Amino acid sequence: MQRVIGSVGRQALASFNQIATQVTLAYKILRLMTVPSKYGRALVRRITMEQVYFTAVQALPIIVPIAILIGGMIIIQFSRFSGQYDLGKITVLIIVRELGPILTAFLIILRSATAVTIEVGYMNVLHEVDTLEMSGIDPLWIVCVPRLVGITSAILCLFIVFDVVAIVGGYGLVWIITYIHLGEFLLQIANAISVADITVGLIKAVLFGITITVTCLYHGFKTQKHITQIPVAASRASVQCFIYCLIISTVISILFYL
Amino acid sequence: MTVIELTNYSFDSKKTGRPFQPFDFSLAHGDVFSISTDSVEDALTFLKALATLVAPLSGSYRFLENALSFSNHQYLLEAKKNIGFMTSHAALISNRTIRENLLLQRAYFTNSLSPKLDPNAQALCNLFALENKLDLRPAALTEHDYRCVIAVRELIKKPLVLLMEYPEQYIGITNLDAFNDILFDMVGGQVGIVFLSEYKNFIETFSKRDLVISNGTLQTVEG
Repeated sequence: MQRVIGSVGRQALASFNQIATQVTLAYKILRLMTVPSKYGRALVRRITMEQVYFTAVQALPIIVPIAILIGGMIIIQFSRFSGQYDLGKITVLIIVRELGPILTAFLIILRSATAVTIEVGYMNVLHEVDTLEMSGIDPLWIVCVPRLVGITSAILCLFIVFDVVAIVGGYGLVWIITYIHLGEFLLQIANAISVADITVGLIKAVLFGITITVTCLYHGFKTQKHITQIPVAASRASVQCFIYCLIISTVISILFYL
Repeated sequence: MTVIELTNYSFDSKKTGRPFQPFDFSLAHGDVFSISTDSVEDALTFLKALATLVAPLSGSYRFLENALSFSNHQYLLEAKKNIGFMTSHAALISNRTIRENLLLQRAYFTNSLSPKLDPNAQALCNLFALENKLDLRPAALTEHDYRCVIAVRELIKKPLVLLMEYPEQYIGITNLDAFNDILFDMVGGQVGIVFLSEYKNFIETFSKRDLVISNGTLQTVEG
């Protein structure tokens, strides 16, 4: 019995320690952004642009068809369920409030977050982080800040793209079976959507971006010695990002809509 | 004036698995130390400790007479910037080209992304036959070229201290004479050097004092 309690206690302490370290890392990166170093600004700008390109632009060919399919699926189901009377309202409820931000975050986790963990893990194992430091370059400024800014802004942009494409593209996919005109459908959406919906979406996207980046950077930097630790770190990072995003999404929905 | 001064310093010994016996060490401008050791790993750990890559278990580290704090990596960057580090622990940034690797420090401190190497860097690239490989990624280089790029990068830093592990293997015997000339200029320019080598000629040419690292102890022997 004592062993079980001891094991649970150790795991709880380890989890607490990890969360505290991640919060500290997030604080350090955000502080660097508010009081930026006078050095390395051109490099940080370039790496941030590269990160936005890899995370947002290169993800468009994946996110657009997924958004159309999911939008179409939801509109088909709810057009039958509600007799198409509240179709716009239901679409806002499901896509803009909940599915848009969370599905965008999941796609980013699958596509880019694991890549960040692997990249930083390799940099650590192959002593590239030490190499940066030996040149007097701060890895937090040159590695972490561009990834945080790049991934967060990518999630923000992709979340908007996802919502618009899911609604309009989804409608386009199923226009044959609906008798509501596009104009009427969009009017329903315009009437249903509120400032709170947009604000909540933006808050979720920013928090997802920070959480995903910090979790991936944490696991990447934790990989110290062996190259075989990198896939394990990538797997742990993606699962944790997934869970954290679900928790954040639920908590924000409760705070704003209950 | 001393560049590096370690007082009552200790870190973990790879050979004995226990901490090093606390030791004092100081490196002045133009000093050259060679290392004799029964454990290459301990010698490399000592070089890493000099490069502030290993946190001490006890003692103090003064760089240019300023005490360094190991509590935050940012406090060490100014010292690290002035230390050339040519060991097996040194690396290139793998997702950048050789040119970008060589220009990284300049790009960072001058906020300039100009792809043009300065004449000194260009001359060193020519010396090590790297001029046609500048737009390759590190993975496309041979092991020898990879180490030569690291050597060029560390030399163009204009360091106050140069730490080297087996320069004869790092640079290659064929390039060693040319490298020796560069080192003579550096020593003349008051750069402190600490190196580990098995090449007797190189040791006799440069070493002014010998550091003996054995069984977790460090002693200085006048040459």
